[in-house]
Amino acid sequence: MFSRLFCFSILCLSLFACSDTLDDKEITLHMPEVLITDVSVKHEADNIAIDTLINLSLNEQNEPIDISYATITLNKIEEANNATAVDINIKLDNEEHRINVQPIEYLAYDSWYELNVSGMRFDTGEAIHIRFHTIEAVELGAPLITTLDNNLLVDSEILIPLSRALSPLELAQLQIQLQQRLDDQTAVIIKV
Amino acid sequence: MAPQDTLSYGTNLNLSINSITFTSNPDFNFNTINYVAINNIEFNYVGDQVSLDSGILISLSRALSQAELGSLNIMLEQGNDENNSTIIQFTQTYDEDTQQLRLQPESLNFQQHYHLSVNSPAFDPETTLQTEFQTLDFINIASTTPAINSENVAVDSNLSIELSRTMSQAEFSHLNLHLIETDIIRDSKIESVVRLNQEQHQLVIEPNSNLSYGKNYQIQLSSDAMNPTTNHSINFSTIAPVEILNTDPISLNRFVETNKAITISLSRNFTDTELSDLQVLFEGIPGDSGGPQTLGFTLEQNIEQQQLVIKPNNEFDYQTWHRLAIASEALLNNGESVAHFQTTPAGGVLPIDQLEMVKVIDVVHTSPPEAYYTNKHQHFLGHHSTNGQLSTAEVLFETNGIWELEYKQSFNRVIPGEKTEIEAVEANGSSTIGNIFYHLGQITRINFAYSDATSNWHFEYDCQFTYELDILLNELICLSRTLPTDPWVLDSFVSYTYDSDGFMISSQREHYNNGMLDETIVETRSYNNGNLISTIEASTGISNQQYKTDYTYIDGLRMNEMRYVFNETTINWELIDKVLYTYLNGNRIKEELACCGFTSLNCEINYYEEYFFDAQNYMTHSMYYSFDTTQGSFQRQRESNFSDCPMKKTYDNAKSRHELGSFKMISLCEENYGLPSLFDQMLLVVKVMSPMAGGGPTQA
Repeated sequence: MFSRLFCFSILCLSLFACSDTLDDKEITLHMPEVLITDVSVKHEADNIAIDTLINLSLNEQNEPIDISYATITLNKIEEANNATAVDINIKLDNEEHRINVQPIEYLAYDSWYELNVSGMRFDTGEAIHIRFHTIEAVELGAPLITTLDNNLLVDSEILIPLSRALSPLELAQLQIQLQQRLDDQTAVIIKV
Repeated sequence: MAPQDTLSYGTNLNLSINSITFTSNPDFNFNTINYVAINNIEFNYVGDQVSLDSGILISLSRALSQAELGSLNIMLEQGNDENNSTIIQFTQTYDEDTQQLRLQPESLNFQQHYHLSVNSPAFDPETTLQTEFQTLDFINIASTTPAINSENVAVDSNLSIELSRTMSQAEFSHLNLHLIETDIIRDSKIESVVRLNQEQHQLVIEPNSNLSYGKNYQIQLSSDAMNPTTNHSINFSTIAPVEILNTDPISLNRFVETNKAITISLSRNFTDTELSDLQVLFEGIPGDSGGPQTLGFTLEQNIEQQQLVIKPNNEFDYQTWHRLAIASEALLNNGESVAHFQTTPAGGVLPIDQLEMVKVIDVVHTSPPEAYYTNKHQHFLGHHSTNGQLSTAEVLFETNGIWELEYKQSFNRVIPGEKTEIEAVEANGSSTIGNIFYHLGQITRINFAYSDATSNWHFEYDCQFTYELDILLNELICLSRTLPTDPWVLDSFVSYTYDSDGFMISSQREHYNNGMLDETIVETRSYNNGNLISTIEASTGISNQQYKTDYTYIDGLRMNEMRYVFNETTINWELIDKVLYTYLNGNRIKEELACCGFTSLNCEINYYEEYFFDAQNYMTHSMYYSFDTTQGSFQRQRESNFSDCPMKKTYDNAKSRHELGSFKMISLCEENYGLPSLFDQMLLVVKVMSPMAGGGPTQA
C-alpha cells in the first residue's frame, strides 16, 4: 500500500508541475485567487464517511467572492491509478463563508479520493489538493443469541457483532427482517 | 435487536439484514427452543402413600432458562374442595445439571389430599401439569402381641405392635414408646429396646430383662404420626407366678415312706421354659453326722393334675430329715423350701395319714402324799385325723380311778403349709384359740386369743415374723388388745442379729404397755466352738437390771449354768441361781437346781431330778426331788414312768438361732405321740432353717 501511494504521489506532483506554469499565467492575468482558510477534510485523512460534505472555509477578505473562475473536482482513485471524476454539487454559502462540496452519490467505502481546486488557494498560499480515504465497509459477525441446547430462547435478543460502529446514516439504511416460520405454510414477520 | 413480539417455541427463525454498509448481507437461521415437557414427578413414598417430609421432584425434558424459571407458576393446595382449600407454601430449587425442579413443602399433613399445578408459558398449554396426591394415613395399631388386655402373658413374651401402615425411619425416630409397669407409680418404666422391623411395619419391644410375673403392664405409644383420635395404649398383664398350693408330703411331715415320690401341687403348670429353668435342691440331712447330702431325682410335670412329681433315684434313708427346695423366677417369691419331712424309722410305722387313734402314754406319778401328783396316772393321748390334717393332744389325770381332762389342744391344718388353727382348753375352762400362718415352711404370723372360763376375753395377740435372707428370723412384732373391740396396740418388738455362721449374737426385745414402751432388754451372746458360753441381758425401763448367764462345758456337754445379777451397790455380779448337770454314757442323768436369791452367798441345791435310761439309752423314768426344809432332806415329789414309751433325750448347747431349738426328744412312741404343740411347731420351724452355714453344733 505504501509503495503504491508513493508512486501515485510522484505522478501527481509531476502532473501538477506541468500545469502549474499555465495556470499561473492565467490566474495572474485574469483573476485574483479566492483564499481558503480551511477544508473540512484534511489531506491524507482516513475513515471519511461516504456521505461526507466537504466544506471549504472562505477567508473573509475575499470580497466579493466569485468562484466562477474556480474549478473544483473530486476524483476517485481507482486501483490502476486511474482517476474517475465524481459528480459533485458546489454551493457557495455566503452567510457561512464557505463553499460546500457535496458528492451527488455516496462515496465508495474504503476508497481514495482527491479533491483538486483551481482558482482558490489557501490563504497561506498553498494550493488546495486534498487526498483522503473513506471509511471501510462494516463486516457482520456471527449473531450472538441466547440459546439453550443450541436452540434460541424465545425471549432471546439477537446481537450481531459489527466490525465498527455505524453512523446514523448507516443505521438508517439498515434493512432487517426477522421471519418466523411456524410451519411449512405459515411464516410471520417479527418486529425488531 | 430484540424481537418485539414473543417468539414461539419450537419454530424456525430467519433473520435477514441488508445494507450497503455491510461487506456481505447474510441470512441467519435459528431454531427456537421447544416447549418444556415434564418427564416425571417423584414423591417420597412410605408404602404407596406420600410421606409428610416428601419433596416433589419434577424432572423436565430440558433445562429451563432463568426467564422460564421465573415464569413458573406453581401452586400446591391442600384439600379436595376448591372452595375450602389451603395453599401450602414451599421452597423451590432448580438443578440445571439434572434439569430437575425440587419443591419442598413447608408442611404436609397426614391423611390429606393435595393438588399440585405447574404452569408456565414454557409448557405446552395443552399439557399443563395438574397432579394430585394423597399423604400418608395416620398410623393406627393394627394388632399387637400380646393382644390388648391380654392376660397371662408369658414374662419372656415377644412384644410387638403391627402397624396399620409402614412407618418411616423419620417417624420411627420421633416415636415415643414406653413400656411401664402400671402397678407402681415411680420408676415404672421398663428399660427396653424398641426396633422397627425390616419391613417397617412392626414395632418390636425387647425388654432388657424378663417381665415380672403377675404384673400389669402398659405400652404407651405417642407420635405425631399416630392417629390423635385414638388411644394407643396397650394393656396386658403377665401370667401370675406359680404358687405352691401344697406338697405331699406336707412340710414338717414325719414318718414319710422311704420310697415316697414328692408331689407338689401348683396353682398352674409351669411352661416348658419355666420348667427348664427350675432349680431344684433335694437333699437329705443326717441328724448326727456330716452335712446335707444331695439326692438324685427325676422331675416330671403332670399337666392334668397341675403337679410336679419328684422321684428320688434311690430310696430315702430311714428316719432322716429331707429337704426339697425349688427356686424359679416363675415361683411366687422365687420359691424356697417347699417340703421338709422326715422319713419313717427303720422299724416301720403306720403311715401318719392312716392313723386314727393313738395309744395312751401312761405316765405314773408316785409322790409323797402331800404332793399334787400323788399316785396319779397321767395319760397323754394323741389323735390324728386322716391325712394328718387334724391333730389333738389330751392330757388326762386319773385320781382314784376318775379321769379328768387336764389339758387338751388341737391343731387343724386347714391349709397345709399355710395355716394351722390351734385350740387349747385347760382344765379350769380357760381356752386359747389362734392361727399359725406359714409361708414355705416358715412361720410368718401367729395370732391367738386367751379367754377365761366364762368366755370373757382376756387378751389377744397378733405377731408377725419377718425374715431376712429366707432363713433368719430377724424381727417379731406383736400387737395386742384386751377386748376384740379395742384398738390394736404394739405389745412387743423383738429384733435379732446373727453372725455370718447363723448364730444369734444379739437380740433386742421391747415390751410395751398400752402401746407405750416400758422395757427394753438387750441380750448379747457369746460362743466358743459352737457352744453358747455367755448371755448378758440388760434391761432398761421398769426393771433396769442386768443379768448374766455363764455356761460351762466338758467335751461338748454342758456341765452347768450360772446365772448372775449385777448389783449396782456393790458393783459386782452376784449369783442368783445355778444348774448342774451330770452325765452317764452321754445321757444326762441328773439336773440340779439351786435358787440362791439375790443376796445368798451360800447357794445350795434346792431341787434335782434324776433320769434313768435303758440299755438302748432310752429314758424309762425320772424322779423329781425337792429339799424339804422341815425334814432337812430331799423328798421325792414325782416319779414319771415312761416305760410304756421310752424317750431319748439329747441336748443342744448352742442357742444358735432361737432358743426354742435347745433340746429335742425322740420317743419310741413318737409315731403315736407325734403331735406338734405350739412349741413344737416353732421348734420345727427352726429345724427347717437348718443346716446352718459354717457347720454349727448338731441341731434338732
